[in-house]
Amino acid sequence: MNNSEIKNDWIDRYNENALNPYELKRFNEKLNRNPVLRAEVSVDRCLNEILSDQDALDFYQKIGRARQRQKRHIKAPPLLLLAASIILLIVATGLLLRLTKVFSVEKKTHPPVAGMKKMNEGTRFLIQPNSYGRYNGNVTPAGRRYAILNPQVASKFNSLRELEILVGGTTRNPAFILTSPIVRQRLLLGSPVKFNWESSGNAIPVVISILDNQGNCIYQSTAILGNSFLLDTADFMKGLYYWRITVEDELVLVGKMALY
Amino acid sequence: MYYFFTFSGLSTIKHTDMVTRYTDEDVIHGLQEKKRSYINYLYKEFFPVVRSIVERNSGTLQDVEDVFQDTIFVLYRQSLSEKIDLHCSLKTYFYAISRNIWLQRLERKYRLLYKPDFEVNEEKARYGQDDSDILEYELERRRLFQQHFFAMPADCQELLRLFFIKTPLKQIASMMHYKNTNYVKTRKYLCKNMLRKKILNDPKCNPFINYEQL
Repeated sequence: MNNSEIKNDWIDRYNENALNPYELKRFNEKLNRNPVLRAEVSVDRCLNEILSDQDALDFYQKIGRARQRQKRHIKAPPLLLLAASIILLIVATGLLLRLTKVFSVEKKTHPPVAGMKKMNEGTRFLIQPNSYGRYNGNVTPAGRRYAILNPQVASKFNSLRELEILVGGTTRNPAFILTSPIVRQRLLLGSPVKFNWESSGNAIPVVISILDNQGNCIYQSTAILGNSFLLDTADFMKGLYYWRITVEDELVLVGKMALY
Repeated sequence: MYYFFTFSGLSTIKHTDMVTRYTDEDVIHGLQEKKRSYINYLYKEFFPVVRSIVERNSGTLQDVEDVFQDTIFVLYRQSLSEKIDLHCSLKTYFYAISRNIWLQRLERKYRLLYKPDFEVNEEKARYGQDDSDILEYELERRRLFQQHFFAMPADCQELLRLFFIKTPLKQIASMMHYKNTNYVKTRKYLCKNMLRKKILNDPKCNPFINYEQL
């Protein structure tokens, strides 16, 4: 037993009146000299009194628990937590759905670099920057410039290979000669496009169709017996369009126009 | 009046605005039995009362919590000794106790703070304490010392509790899985020494420590 334990023992025993006369005399001498020991003895007395009162200890323990509970209650009421969790869940689900939708749309409209096989299936080249950050592919320089400035509508200016190869100034019907417009044209959105042609001999019924860069026919005129036709592009959207002229169900000429 | 099953069993509860309200008698009875639901109820209903007293009189939130705890304890002790003679609502009674405790505490702390210059106030403050049934000083000392006790390791708490309810040392040794009674004694000294040191080193406990002649 070391000195410290003897001292502890003596403090306890002093307060329990369990010291023998010799120990008591020595302890009192120490007490008179040492205020720290007096403090320890007084604290020990208080502790004896407090620890003997088990009922109060139990009650304080219960109060302490209630106090903790109330603190938790004040910090985050359960209903508020529940509401916050539900809102978070809804927001997270919404974001997830939105992301899924965006990715699925991107998958549809932006396939990986198209090979020959896919091109035959009707896949289009895309105006997308390559690893050097440059736009290339079968796009006109103007389209490339426009794509750089307006990336959100760049896909509207992608050319359609199936129609691109048909674009040209050579008429396939010698009786029909187109005088305007030129087969490759760049226009401002809303500008009128005037089709003029000459036909040798009798008037022939001419049908003009407008196709978008996906190959969908967005406008088709009735059979025109005159020599001109005015197309209003005010209702069109910015993008690349192809026009097709047919005479008696026979393709005569294909041209294209880019509306900016 | 409706009947509801509570933690304590079937009791009479006034049910208004979806809040469980106990009658004053129920609360006093529940406190006597140290029922958790009644202590929680007191916290919920009476805490704002104490808060208004303490915070209006230069107290902090910590002071509010301490005064509230002390007031519940006083109420509990009075309910056990059947000292409570309610001529008003329990809330008013609770208010009076907590106000008394807080004013005494303010006076004591003020006196301690300005002790060298305000000797006259010391006498006045002492008179104020003797005048009351509630000894705020003892309440605070008990609460602080008990806080240190509850912060001790669980085995020390258990050992000291068993020791102070006069459990035989042999029984303590078998309950706590100690090898013999000597180890129980040694462990008890060590635990108590630890508790004493913690209290002596806590500045909040300093006003309650007596360095003078015993």
